[in-house]
Amino acid sequence: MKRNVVILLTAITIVSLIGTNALAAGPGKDTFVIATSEAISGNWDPTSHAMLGQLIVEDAFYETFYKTPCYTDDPGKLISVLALSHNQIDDLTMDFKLRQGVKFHDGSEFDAVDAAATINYYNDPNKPGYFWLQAPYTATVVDKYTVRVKSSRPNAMMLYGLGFLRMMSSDDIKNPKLLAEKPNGTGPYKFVNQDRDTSVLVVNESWWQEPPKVKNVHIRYIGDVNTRLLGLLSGEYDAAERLNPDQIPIVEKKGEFNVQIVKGVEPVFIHFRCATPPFKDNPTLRRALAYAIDRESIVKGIFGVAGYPIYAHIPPTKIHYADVADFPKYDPKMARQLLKEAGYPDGKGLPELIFNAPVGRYPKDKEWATYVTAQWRALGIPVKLIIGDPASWSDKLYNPKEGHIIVCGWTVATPDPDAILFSMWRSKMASITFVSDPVIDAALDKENSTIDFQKRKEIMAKETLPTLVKQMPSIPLAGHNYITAVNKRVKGFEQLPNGNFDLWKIEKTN
Amino acid sequence: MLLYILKRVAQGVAVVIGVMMVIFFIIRVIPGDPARMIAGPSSTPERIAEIHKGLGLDKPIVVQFLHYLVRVVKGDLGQSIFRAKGGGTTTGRHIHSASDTGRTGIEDFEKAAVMDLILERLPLTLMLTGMAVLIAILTAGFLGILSAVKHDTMWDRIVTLISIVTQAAPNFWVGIVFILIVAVHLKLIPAMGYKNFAYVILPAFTLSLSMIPTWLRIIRLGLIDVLSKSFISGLKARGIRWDVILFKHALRSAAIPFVTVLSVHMGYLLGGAIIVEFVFDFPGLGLLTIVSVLQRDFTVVQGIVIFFASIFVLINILMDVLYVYLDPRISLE
Repeated sequence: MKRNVVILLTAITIVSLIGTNALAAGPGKDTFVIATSEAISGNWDPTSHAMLGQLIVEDAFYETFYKTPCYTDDPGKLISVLALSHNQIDDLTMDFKLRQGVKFHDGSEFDAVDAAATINYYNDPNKPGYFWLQAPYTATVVDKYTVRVKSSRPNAMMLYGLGFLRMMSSDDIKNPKLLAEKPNGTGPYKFVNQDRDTSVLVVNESWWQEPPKVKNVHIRYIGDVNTRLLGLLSGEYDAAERLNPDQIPIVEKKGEFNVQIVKGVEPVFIHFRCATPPFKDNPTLRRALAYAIDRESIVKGIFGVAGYPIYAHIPPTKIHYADVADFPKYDPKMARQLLKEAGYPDGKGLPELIFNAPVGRYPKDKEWATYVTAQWRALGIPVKLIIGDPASWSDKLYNPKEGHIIVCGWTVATPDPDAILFSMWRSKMASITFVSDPVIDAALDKENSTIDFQKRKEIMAKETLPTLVKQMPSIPLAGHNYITAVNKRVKGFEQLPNGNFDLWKIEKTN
Repeated sequence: MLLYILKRVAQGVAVVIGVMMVIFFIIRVIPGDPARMIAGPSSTPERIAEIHKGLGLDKPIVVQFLHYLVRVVKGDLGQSIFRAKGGGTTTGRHIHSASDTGRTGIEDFEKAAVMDLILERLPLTLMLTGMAVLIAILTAGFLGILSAVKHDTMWDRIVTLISIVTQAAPNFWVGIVFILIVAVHLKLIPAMGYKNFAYVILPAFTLSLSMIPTWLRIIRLGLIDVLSKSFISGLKARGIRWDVILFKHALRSAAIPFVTVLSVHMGYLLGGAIIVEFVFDFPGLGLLTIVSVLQRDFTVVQGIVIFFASIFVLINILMDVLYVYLDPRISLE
């Protein structure tokens, strides 16, 4: 009897191990699983948010006029998707010629009526999606495949802003509740359902290009970077984004993965609260703190491959980026001199500056914030560093009464620089610095109202970016690199600088 | 018996209300305002105030608690602040609003009911903890009996060593090591997330390790004590088989202190499940708890804590009743 029990238990164990081993094989050839770092809201109306995680998922089933990968060697590159061409008729008006033969997932045809309805739907200042427009527009139908957009004022962001809008069906727009629950786009994948934190997509066999080879895509939100790594290493995921630099050797040692390190669109800043003393109306003091930081050492020694130096208030993944010649380099002597000019020799007279930074929000955030604090204190500047988990840090971010200095990155997946410049430093829109500086406003308004591409480029290089360096409402610390690891069984995967990936290009060998 | 159970239930309700009060006040004291996370970057103080009003956060905290208590009594644990009914959750960190009103789309669509979220994930956590208890009972039972029967021999010392090492190792570390060895290098069983029962094995085993050392020691000590009693000698003298003496007589008597510890350990089990679910990305109540705390999703955290407290109280009542069954000498009074 005992022997029979032992034999039975052994048999069950062996069968279980064989069975579970088969299940440990991974997602399979027809399914691509990627672990992402940002959550989604679950509301599929594209105008309801400007969330990174959701933009990544939407990119698979909604399409835009143009794709803008934001490569550093050609940040303004436009890849035709639903628009074949555009024509700037005057400073306020732009026509878009649309691609023909495109169908929504429900089978209805995409045309100018849908494009116009989409633009007009976005055009509501109460919607978060208005962020991409930054000015009131009116869209009208010229003919079946031509839509005309008129702005209320000259706005240089018009092309890239409009080019970023997710095209929706005019019928769906009449029913926002349906729009929120079930997205109906024109993209290579269709939305199936949301399984807790996994967005489940299936191939669109009627796509206007050749359908993707991988039939199913699962985009999983995994907030913890170590969990993303473990899932990748165990074979559960085909790819994991936003890994940390110290995880790269672990991934590479396995020999089963390719690691892509891409200059991303996210700069990280040290923001000054410019609405309250001591930083209010005191650019000299702000510049003093900028000269006190050894940014090169921070990028090299702390960020490592997670970051790259930038020498302006926008990263090189934006159009019209130019290194500003007198961008502050580490110079404690200059810092002391400026402190004196600002009225605070050797930091005397300054209140204790509360410096808020997150931990686990950006690569090595706690480490470099600690280093920066030490460098400021070395000059006699009284600084108190408060490290908070993302929720408590986020709570302080948009509150002008919280602290004097705060860290924040700003990721906008469009190559137009105004998406950063206006939301960070334009009066009444500057949501973190709360700066109200007519000098900065004038510089930003001038470039934003200059429609001519070359003229705007010159203004940015000679006036706008140098003005921001001179007024220094925030210190640009570095740009972030995206670190994404992909299993070698996946071919054709590319991490784009704008944070997205062209899922329709991938194939799997097993 | 019925009167006793009713009395215990009444005491349990008081405990749950006490727990509710503590968690309600604590979560509102820690930094992190969900209204600000919902409102986004361009929000005005007026907009924050509006959201506070919509969420009921503008009232005095005592009033907020009383309203919440009334809803809980009716079985309504409220709605998540961030989770949508259809799935998905916003961290609130990158919701940009271009207008001074600071409106986002978050409050414009239906939020998930806390009870629905709990019931969706509860079966997974129960599966995990149930499997962990089973593994722990079998392992602790086997090792405890072995150690007791082979008391003061090499086997006893080996089991003691296993117990010490297992107790010293933190379960989050053990979990990561298991994942690396079993799932990553050996590729024996899957580890991350949940698709089917195979995904429960490794996290359950990790969770069981936090209980095995204590349980095996209790079984060992209890059994050593019982086996030294005269009635055992009497049973042997009557020619009763050793396995019958051990499993039918000795173990039953030795189990009483084990049952006491089991009821206390249920609390540790649920707490341990939170860490293990996080390490293994197991989509149970534990992982939901951590994510909700990080997001400051007050209502979800409150709901889960109340739920766990209620379960804990219920288990304690059941254990008390079980004592009577195990040892009729024990009176409920």
